[in-house]
Amino acid sequence: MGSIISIGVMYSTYLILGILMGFMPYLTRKTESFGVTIPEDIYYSEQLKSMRKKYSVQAILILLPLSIGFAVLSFKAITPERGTFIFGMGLVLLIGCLFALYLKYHFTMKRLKSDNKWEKEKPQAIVIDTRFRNRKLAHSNLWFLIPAFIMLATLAITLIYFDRIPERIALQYDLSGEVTRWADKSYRAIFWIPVQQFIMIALFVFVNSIISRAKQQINAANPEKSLVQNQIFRLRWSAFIVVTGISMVIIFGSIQMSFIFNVDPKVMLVISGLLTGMLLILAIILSISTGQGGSRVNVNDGRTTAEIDRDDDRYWKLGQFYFNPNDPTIFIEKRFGIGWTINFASIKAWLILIGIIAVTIGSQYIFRI
Amino acid sequence: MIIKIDLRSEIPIYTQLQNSIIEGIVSGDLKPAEPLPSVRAMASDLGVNMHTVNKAYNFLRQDGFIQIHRQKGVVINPEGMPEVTSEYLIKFKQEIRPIIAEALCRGMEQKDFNRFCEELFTNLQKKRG
Repeated sequence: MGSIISIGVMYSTYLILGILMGFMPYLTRKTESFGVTIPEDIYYSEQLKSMRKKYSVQAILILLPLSIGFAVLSFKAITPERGTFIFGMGLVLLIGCLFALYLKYHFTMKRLKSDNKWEKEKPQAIVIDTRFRNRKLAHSNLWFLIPAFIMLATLAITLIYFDRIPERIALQYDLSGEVTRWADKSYRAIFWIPVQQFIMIALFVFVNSIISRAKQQINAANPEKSLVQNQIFRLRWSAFIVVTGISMVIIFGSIQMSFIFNVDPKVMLVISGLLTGMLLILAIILSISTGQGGSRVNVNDGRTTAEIDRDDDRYWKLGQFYFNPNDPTIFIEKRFGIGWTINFASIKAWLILIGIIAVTIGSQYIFRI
Repeated sequence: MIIKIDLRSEIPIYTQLQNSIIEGIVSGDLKPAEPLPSVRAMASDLGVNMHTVNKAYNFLRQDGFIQIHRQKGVVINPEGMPEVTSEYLIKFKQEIRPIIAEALCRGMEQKDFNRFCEELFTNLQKKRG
């Protein structure tokens, strides 16, 4: 029974992720198609409409057999760990296949663009608003006082009830609620969770700051409209980051409480499962309703001009990886996806990336017993 | 204020940037003491090298249109705009000379030249209110 639930949870996430990736051409900015810059009116042409449709159908045709196949393999696995491992393999394979499919469309799109000479028709412009950063682009980091308070409460309760904690505590569960790793009671083992909470809060504060600082990307053809759209896009994802931060800290806090007050791990699983499910659904709703850069937000049309956005395709390797040594930008909107990516030509960006990975992995080892 | 940089233009980006900031001041889109983005933020938003923005800001600072503070950042000069000085007049004549030369080369009449200048002059002055 447990394994059916856990496989169900894993593979519904798998399906949701696949579907979101499959419909990505509908969620990007209208000035981009399969990682290629295009004039906005071309986005609505019959040719591109049918390309998007074909891509989505093919993506689903890849997704369905893969998810069913791997779900069966996971179910038949001898141990739950093997099942999780197979799930991971399936995920890597899915992302690989969909990326290959994307590349096929990306190169077709590039050829179409050079054949039709779309970029040569209209003047190219960069438009920026000098007051952009005076706008409210993200919610205040003070919101993270809520999870910080929960973290402190977790810490305080842990210290007060230290004697009640059993001699052996569970460090890791699989999705069916079985403990897969135990640790002897010690200060280090007990502080593992508050430390994780702290790192999480720091990380979410950082992400929230990125949201307000990331590169300003306004559509040259209609700056007023895209300014508002972009602001809404940033504010919504910032709110999502706040909610995610609070939920994650609650999940970790409740796990710690379950050691102290001897709660059935199944209860904890339900709590964390529900919260994670809620976050996942929220992320999907946000992705679909907002679109990349706010492209799907309905805003009263400002006046439209003939300019098209700067063509920076040559800096976008394979249409997805931004590499521009001249641009001091660190964080920039993804082209074929939702959210932000880094300028791979920036040393600072690499340092930040490595720093985050080092802190997350390092914290696991320092407090691992 | 919304700044538009034309990438197909022959005019270098730093000059376009400089020109649009001065025009923004004239039209009132940029008020005295109003902050401008830092060099880094401006360069990042434009997707250009920081030197480009630095160059534009430095020219504007030298001429007295903006101030660059270490803490407050870049602001439109709150103490008012530079006046018509003898140095400026030299620069002005120097810059307008090739424009007149080209117009003459193409056979433009003096009255047409004057009319175009007047039109633009009143146009910009009107924006100032």
